[in-house]
Amino acid sequence: MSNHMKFVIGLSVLMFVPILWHFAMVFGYLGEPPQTRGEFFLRIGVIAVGFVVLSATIASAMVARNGETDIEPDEREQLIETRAERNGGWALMAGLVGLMWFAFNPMQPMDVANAALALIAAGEAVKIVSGLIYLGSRA
Amino acid sequence: MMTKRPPITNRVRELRELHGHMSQAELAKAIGVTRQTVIAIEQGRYSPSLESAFRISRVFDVGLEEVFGWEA
Repeated sequence: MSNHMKFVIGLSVLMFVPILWHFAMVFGYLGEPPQTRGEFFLRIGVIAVGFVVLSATIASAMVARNGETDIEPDEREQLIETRAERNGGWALMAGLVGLMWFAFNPMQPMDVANAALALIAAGEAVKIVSGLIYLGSRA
Repeated sequence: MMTKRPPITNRVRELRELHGHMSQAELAKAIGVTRQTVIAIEQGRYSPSLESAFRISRVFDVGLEEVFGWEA
């Protein structure tokens, strides 16, 4: 696997750590989940900013060590990423349709917010898995 | 998933051997792709872009049709 693919897949997998931590709290493990909109978005904001800072730091370190071409995808990797992102997008859309269905039942606002976050995570998971499958097969 | 092999065949592995046992990494560097992409091309799992196909033929100093074939 090229350094670019390691970078992309590694970062995506790392993104799951704080999300899993959040859902562990939601299901009653590892402390109290956020109770208000402010707490929820503070957590999402911290995860998003942390992800951007981590991405930039790792990318800078890789460029400093091996040069700029090290993290650039080649033509096959671009194709794989495009297809994997498309699959992730389909999964996200299918999940949103499901969420629309359930939204007509009485749902707590925090449940809707958590369901949306779970859908984003599921879309990302589909992207990673399909990318790995494409890497090992015909692209 | 697409499992059907593309009708495009190639002699990249053979030409590498004829070209002083050039390694996959050396060819990859010469044409600006990763070694994994060269492996995928040789195994028929990936058909390169036209630009990369021309780069490969230039590296081996042969015509495009001496490297790639089309079994339609």
